[in-house]
Amino acid sequence: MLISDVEQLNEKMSYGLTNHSVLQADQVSVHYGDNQVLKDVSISLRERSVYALIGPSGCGKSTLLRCFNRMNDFVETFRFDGKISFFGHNIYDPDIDPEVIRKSIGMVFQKPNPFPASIYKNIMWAPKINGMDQDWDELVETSLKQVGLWDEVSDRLNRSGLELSGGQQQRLCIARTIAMNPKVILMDEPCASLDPISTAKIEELIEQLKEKYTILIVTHSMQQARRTSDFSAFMYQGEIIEHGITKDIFESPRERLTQEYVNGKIG
Amino acid sequence: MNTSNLVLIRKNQTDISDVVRAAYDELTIGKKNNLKRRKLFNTLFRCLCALAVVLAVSVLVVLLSSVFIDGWQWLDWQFLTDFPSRHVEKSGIKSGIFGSVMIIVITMITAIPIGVGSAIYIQELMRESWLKSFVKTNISNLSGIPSIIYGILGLAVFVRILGFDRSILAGALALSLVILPIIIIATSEALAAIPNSIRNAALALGATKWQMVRDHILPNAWAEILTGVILATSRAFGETAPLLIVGALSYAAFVPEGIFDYFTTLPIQIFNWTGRPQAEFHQLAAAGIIVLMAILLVTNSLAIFLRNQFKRKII
Ligand SMILES: Nc1ncnc2c1ncn2[C@@H]1O[C@H](COP(=O)(O)OP(=O)(O)OP(=O)(O)O)[C@@H](O)[C@H]1O
Ligand SMILES: [Mg+2]
Repeated sequence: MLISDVEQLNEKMSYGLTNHSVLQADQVSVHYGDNQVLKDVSISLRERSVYALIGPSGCGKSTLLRCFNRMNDFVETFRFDGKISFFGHNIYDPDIDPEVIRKSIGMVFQKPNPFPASIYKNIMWAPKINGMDQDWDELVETSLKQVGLWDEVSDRLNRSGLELSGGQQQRLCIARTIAMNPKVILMDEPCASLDPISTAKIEELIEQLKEKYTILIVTHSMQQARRTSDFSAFMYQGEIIEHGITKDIFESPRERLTQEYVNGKIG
Repeated sequence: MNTSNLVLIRKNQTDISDVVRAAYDELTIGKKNNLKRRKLFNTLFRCLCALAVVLAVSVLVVLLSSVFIDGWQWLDWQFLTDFPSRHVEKSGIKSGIFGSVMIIVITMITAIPIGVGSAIYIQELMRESWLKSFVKTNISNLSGIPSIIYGILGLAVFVRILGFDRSILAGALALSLVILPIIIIATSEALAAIPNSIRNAALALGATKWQMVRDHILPNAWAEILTGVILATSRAFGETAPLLIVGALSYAAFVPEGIFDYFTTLPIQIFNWTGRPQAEFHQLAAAGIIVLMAILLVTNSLAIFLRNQFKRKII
């Protein structure tokens, strides 16, 4: 097969509902009580790519994100219909432990939330409780190096993670997620509370991480979506209006709504 | 173009000074109108608060000093190491101290795990529902029930039905009932103060609720929980009514040797002496009060020290 053929195939896989995707939502509908928040959402994420989820406030981006690692399970009124497959396994199958899913599908929150504990413990806690057995010093070092934090904090690993700056804290949270060796990293507006320099660092980091992980990032910044992602999905009132290659979504969207949103006319 | 710019600047300048003047006027008018009155109220309020403090402290000082004047002459080693007796000079509080310490230890052993455990269950594990708010409301209500009611319950359940007789165990269990609501409420509040972002962080990393509670919620809440436990302990230490109902002795010339022995406690001993007609026994009671306060002071200081140790470790 020619390289271009492979690329084409890959592209097809990214928004076609194929079985080769890492994570695939299939006709997902979500209710909070009587309030329907997601309507028949289908999306498929392929390996080692960055997906941006954009759309106006309240359209259900965070809800969709939290469906992928079953963090919505903790909401009492949450009701889920449809299917989400992770390497072909339905993660809402009653036989599947949500904890196992959350191990492989990590999450980074809008506000950096390191544990009020040492930097060292922040990284090694989750692998440890999940029964991974390895050289913790090494794990801490490699995880921090991957997020470019090692040089900044290597001399104070025993100090509290809360003593770091906001941007450093967010990178610590990413390092903490990476330490679990997940397949997918979900990021819900990871730069929303950061300054431009920290934001640039995180974006750079996303660029590197995509070599190993699939990343789904929710963002309100069009520039960020364009800079960081390979594929984008535009959501509006609980539906995915359009998704595809980021360049297409921003430069030649098929839908009028998408065009209006990316040009800042609705939001 | 230069001149027009200049005009613009001039204009801006007058604009700015107008704004400043307006602000100044507002301030000075404010001063004339009600600033004085507000300041007066502020001073008045401060005086009232200070008065309340002075009142509370002076009552305390009067009480304490009268206790000390009455009791200090009887305070000696013999007072601590002798059993109570009909003869004032041979009387002591040995049985009361032993009884109190044993009761408190058993009360804490039963009440802390149950109280903290219940709070964890209610606050961290229970689903949001009418049942949860029902349980929480009722626990708040339970903390307001007079302790003598718990004494009656203890008499019925522990002394009669379970057959513990008038033992230390029965007394301690009755006291546990009294302080359980306090511990549960304090612990719930301590847990509620932990931000949800920590819970999300732990759960999103694949932790179970138990791992989250054990490694992140409790370590951060211990200091606060301990504060509640200190309060509860002090309350239990001074509690008399439920123990009298359960059948504590008011005169015991022996040291209890096990949890099924009869017992008396320090507050009961004090209560007993104050009921005697002779003034000397009232002075003995005062001496007992001094010892009781000293013990409370020492245990509370120790607990506060421990609490601060906990706090330092977290941040
Ligand atoms: N825990 C919840 N309980 C009930 N309703 C909720 C809950 N979380 C979100 N919702 C509702 O679901 C809808 C979608 O919310 P969601 O947080 O997914 O939006 P979003 O696209 O992430 O918005 P934003 O960009 O502001 O973060 C909103 O109408 C919101 O009110
Ligand atoms: Mg959101």
